[in-house]
Amino acid sequence: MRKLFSVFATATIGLILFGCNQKGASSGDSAAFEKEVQEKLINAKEGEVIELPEGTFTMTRPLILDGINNVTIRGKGKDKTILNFKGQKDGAEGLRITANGTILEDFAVIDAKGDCIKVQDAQGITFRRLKVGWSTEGSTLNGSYGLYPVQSSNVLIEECEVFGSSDAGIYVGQSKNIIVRKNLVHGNVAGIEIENSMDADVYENTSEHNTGGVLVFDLPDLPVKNGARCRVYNNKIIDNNIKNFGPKGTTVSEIPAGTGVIIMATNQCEVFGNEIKGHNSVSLAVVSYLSLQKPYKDTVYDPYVGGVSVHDNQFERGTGSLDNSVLFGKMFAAIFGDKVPDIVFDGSINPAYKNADGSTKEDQKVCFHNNGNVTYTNIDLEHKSANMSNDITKMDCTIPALKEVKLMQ
Amino acid sequence: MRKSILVVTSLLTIVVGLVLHSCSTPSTGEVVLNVADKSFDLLSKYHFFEGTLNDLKPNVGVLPYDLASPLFTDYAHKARFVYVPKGKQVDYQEEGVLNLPVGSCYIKNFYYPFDFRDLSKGRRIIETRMLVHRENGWESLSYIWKDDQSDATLEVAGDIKQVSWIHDDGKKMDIDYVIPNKNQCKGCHWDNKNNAFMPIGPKVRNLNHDYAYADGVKNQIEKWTAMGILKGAKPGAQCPKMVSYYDTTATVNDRARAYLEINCAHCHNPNGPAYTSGLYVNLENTNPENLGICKAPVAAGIGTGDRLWDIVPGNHNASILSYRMESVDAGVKMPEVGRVLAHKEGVALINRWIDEMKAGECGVKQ
Repeated sequence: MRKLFSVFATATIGLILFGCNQKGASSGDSAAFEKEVQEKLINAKEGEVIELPEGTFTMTRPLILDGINNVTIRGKGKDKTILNFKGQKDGAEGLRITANGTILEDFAVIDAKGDCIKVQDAQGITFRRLKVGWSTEGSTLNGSYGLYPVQSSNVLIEECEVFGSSDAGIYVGQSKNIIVRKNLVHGNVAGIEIENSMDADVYENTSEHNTGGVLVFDLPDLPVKNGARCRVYNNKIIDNNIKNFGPKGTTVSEIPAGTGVIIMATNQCEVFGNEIKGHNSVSLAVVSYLSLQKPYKDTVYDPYVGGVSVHDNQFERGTGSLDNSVLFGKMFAAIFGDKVPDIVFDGSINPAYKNADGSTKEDQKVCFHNNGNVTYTNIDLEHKSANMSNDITKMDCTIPALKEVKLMQ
Repeated sequence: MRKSILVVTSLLTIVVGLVLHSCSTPSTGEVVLNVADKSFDLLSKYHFFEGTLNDLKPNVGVLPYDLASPLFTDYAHKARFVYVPKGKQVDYQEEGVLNLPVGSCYIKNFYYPFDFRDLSKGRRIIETRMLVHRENGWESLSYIWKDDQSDATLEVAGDIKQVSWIHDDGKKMDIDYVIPNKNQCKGCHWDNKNNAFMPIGPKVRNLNHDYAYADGVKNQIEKWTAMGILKGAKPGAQCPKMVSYYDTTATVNDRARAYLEINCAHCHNPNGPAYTSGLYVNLENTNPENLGICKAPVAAGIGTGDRLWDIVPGNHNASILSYRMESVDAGVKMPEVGRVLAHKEGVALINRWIDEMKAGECGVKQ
């Protein structure tokens, strides 16, 4: 009997031990962690804080928070809590958030298959002190966007580090009321891109060693279009000269290595107080969508820039030569050869913005003011460069300053 | 000594009890679905099926159905059922998904026959997904079947199961079958227009065909009407009807549009989760650009596969749509959820559809 008992005891203890062993293995840790966090996200209460422990966790599936408001997901630090999605089996994102008022802070999301963190249809989203990106430098196989809020409002992105995106590191799309500040973005095709968005303040960021530093774009055929009111100020936009590794077909794949800032097709945009230095192709370009030479049928889309003011920036071009391997580079090469001026304007103005005498309406002017000793060309795209002008004094004007963005939380 | 006997006996009792508990017990009695209550932890407790659970023999009030064109889910077979509480019914509607009354439930079982060429060899049921219509809207539930097929357990976080089978062509298949987590369900089932979670498949046009019921073949719309589930329906012949994308007697365009409708349009419609892309492949859409023809991608990123347009008429090799359907990379493939394999037959159909379009260039040559 004693023997029988010990058999049972052994079997029982064995079962318990077996269970423990499963959890003790490091992959088991990650698997258990993944399931536990996902369950917490599904069962979270409004306003709950979900703490992530220190450690590196191998993730196989996206973590999803949906429909529960004001949840905080907080790690132990962007170098201490690391969610590694290399080898992800399912889903296109690392984190996917469709909830209002989420705060994400103090952790890292690395090597997701698609986007690292995608947030859609959120009223209020904060990304704070996150480290997000892809560990393989310059690979076209890297995911598209590091931080990707879309169709959201009251977006705050601060003190994050984003690297290695094959499209844009920080990409804010079709959103409203946005602050992007004090981030470090490097090794992406585009460092920071604000697209089809309204009321964005982008300041005190460092965007360096990307293909292009900061892009403000407005594109056709999207549910939210005609982006407006963007301030890009007091940023360090430095040495963005890495080879473009974006997949063809994406808009950013047309950006030449060595691009500082491009303002395309957007309206009411103020660029001031930035250091824009070390770019081998073009420091700053203000262009219409027509310059991309892609047809579109969107009838309510406005492809022109208007109300753009570039003032009080420090420019210093790079010592290398123009990257003429992509569309924008080719276009510049055809006009300028090897050296492109610091500032390029494509000269296109919406006919609807013009007064009877051919001058541009006050609020739709394009102004370059007090940018130091810069070279400049209006390439007169409309007339196939027939009337190019290098005289920046013709563009010396000011537009009333835009208001500061205030987030509603 | 006596004490240890007692311990052993009680241990035995517990063990035997556990074993008995986990064994399949035939379910008896009427369907139990009180939508005001919490969900059951076990599928068997609903009594949707009578007899041995994994025979999936529907209980009284539970009706099997199928769809003309189904969603592709890694070649999984699906046994679908609908339950509507006694005395309740849904009004006929020509467009959109049938919004069954509160208290109703769709039950969809995902399984793999061991040998696709010989279904008599048995099957393994992987998961049962339920859509339950509660007072405050539809809720998705996923029950994962135990390995011994005795019952299925409620799981919110999803899972990955290794599944193998002999395919139609005799090839052995092994995949990591992904059971979506509860939040991923919404990734397809969310309707921005109604701001609500909605079923996808059961639209009149997708149900309007014959089904071989236990008591004979009948048009599903007419059967639902005869059962008292559906009110105000016209005879099947007068209702809209979608083709089966497998039906080679239908036109390639109709088959392709049916395929896109059921496999893509739940997200890619003006009110779906992918509305931000501007790509709308729902049957109702007639705008060629929104359908993808010469439409530049928006946020496809690596999903472009170095291709410039969603659809280049006459050239599937240049079309992003084909690239993303052919891909099994989690960062590229479409749909994002619900498959780890490419649907060979579906890809071939869409490629043929694109190739048969009048060839034309999209935009500038690069």
